[in-house]
Amino acid sequence: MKLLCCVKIVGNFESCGDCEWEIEDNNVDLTFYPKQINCFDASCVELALRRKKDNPEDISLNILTVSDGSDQRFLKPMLALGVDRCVIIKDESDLRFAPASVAHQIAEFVKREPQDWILFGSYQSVGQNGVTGILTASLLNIPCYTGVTEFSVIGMDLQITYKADDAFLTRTVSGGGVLILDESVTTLLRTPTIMQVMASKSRSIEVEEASKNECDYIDPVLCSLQYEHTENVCEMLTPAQLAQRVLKLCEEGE
Amino acid sequence: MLVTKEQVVAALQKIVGADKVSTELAILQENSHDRHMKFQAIHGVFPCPLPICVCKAGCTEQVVEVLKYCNANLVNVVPKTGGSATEGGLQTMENCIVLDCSDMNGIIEFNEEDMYITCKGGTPLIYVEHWLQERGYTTGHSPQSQEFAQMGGLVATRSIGQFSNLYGGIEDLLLAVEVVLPDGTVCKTRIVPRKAAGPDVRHMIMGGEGALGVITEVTVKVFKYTPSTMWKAAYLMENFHDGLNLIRDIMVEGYKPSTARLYDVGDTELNFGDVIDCKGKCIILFIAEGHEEITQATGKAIVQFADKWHGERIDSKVVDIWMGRRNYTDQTIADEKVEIMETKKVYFSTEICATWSNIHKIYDAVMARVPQIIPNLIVFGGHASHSYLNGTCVYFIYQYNAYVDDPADEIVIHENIVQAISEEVLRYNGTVTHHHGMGKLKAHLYKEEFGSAYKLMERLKVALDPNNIMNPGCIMPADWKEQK
Repeated sequence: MKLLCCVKIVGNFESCGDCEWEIEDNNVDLTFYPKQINCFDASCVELALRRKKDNPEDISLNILTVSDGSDQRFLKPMLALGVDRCVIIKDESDLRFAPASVAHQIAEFVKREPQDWILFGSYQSVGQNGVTGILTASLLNIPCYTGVTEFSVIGMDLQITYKADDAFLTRTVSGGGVLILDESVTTLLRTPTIMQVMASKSRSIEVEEASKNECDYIDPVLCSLQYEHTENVCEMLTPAQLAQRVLKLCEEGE
Repeated sequence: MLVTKEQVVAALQKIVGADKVSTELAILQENSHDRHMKFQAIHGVFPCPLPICVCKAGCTEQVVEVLKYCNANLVNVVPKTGGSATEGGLQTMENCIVLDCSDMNGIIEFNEEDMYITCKGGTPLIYVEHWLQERGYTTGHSPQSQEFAQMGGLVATRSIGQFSNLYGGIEDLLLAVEVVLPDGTVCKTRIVPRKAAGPDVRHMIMGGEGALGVITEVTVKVFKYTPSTMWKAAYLMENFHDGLNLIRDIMVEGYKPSTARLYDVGDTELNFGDVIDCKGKCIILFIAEGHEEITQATGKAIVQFADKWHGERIDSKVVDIWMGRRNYTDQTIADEKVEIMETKKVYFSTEICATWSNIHKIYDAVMARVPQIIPNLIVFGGHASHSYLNGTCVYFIYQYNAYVDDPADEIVIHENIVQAISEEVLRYNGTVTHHHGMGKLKAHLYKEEFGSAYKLMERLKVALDPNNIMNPGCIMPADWKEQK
């Protein structure tokens, strides 16, 4: 069984404290801001590593990221942890708010190198859109299971536990697909020991050029980055005014 | 002990007040250890015998009466202030009390003409530092524990700060000290720049780690505070040895940057890997402080020396990043607790010191040995940050997975690492503790550490604490007399 975990390297903004973001040309310079593997993606990898540990011969675990290639050092520990491959799809375009482009690159990779299950974390700190996994499934015409909190391997099938409304349900799924972990899953990714790091020294991250094929979907266009502005807007209404507004809404609804 | 525990509590309550003596279980547990046993404490395990009580003294007179009582009745005493110790110095033992001096908190005198400040022993360093900075001065003392440490404890452990290359360690900063000996005698040294009236008795007390008396008052030098003229730089070095040689050149030629901080590859990755691509190299950070003429001249010299050792200059923003996250805070301690609970990853450091000719050998020997013998080691590296004409201090840092069934067993992993480091250090004539103190963790090495001078330490202990009530087991093993 081939598992593909899709990860993203993001800013570790929680460790920054209060910072003054400077916006220049719709960009915020993150050069010296601490970065890390998106913690939700890291949860994905940890769960997949546990499954691989349960079935080392039967499961091939690959890690994929779409980025400008400057983040290899965050992926190397995963080689030390025993993943089979780490692949960077090198794309130097602005991917911050480009779920379609990212999904397209992931889908193109999977078309070249078929995977059984593609795993995504649920959330990220920059450009959170919630659609990359769904678009990937759509591009590959495979099922997409969201809200997944746990999964285990049964032969070539997966038994997944997922959240549906307020309930946790379990079902066995087969034939491949996309799993998107629920945001409640915050399993920490283990750290490789020095021995593991030394043993993996000769292994390297694979870098592939981004596909030039056209994408079926179009990314949103970033208009402008602005400082978040919050204010409370409060309008005081008398009961009579409220009644008139409600009546009007009802009339419009008819 | 010549009295019952209940009698001890009653007697101490009479001296300091009933509300200042606690026998509450949670308080006793919290005060039975220091950061050496953080893993155990986080898991609710307290391997050390709990103290009879925690007694908070509010003034020197109360410390006198408490010690007189304990000395007469053979009650052991563990003096404590900020509690940021790391080597087990605050671990309690049978029949002991914890004498907490953190209520002795306040600035007694600030003398601007003579450039010193006098504080009570329980005054937090961070408070003193902020107070001085508001007035354009600084203690120059900035240990990583700055947010928690208190003045008495800083002297008791011979502490040092991250800008020591310029300001010196506590031994250079201390002008005068007041100590209460175990028999209640109060000794206070006078404030003079220097004297030759026999041996410097301050040094008998400095570094005593609570085993010789209780420090109740501290006078330290103050310096002009000039942050606006700071010169900063950061370089990548090919290897740790080149970095050490660079620092040596700077120190030997007489330049004194307040910070010359070199990280090896592992420590570089740990501390800066999330912000820059370190390219598998070692980072070295420099800060020069003082008047602009001094900082510029120091900076110019550093640039020349760095070129000689093929340093690759990188953005000095890295220095700002280090400045922003160099110290322990409430948040980092809280985050550490969460990390330990959830991942069982534990982080410690062991700081050693040696001459230039020995430090390279020590570094290589320790780096070769420890990763081979300690399984589940995640990180093992080192950094050099307190340097002298004759040598430097290296911190060995390590993080490991404490996969143990019983949290108490984690101590064995830590102690094995410390023992391995200590053996290599002593083999090459280094010291097993640069500024964290011997504590109880390294007390069994005191003879090797002191060399033949260990007899001086033993006689000092007998002279000042003949009943051996002061923090037994610290600096020397509790049964050192029997071992003879």
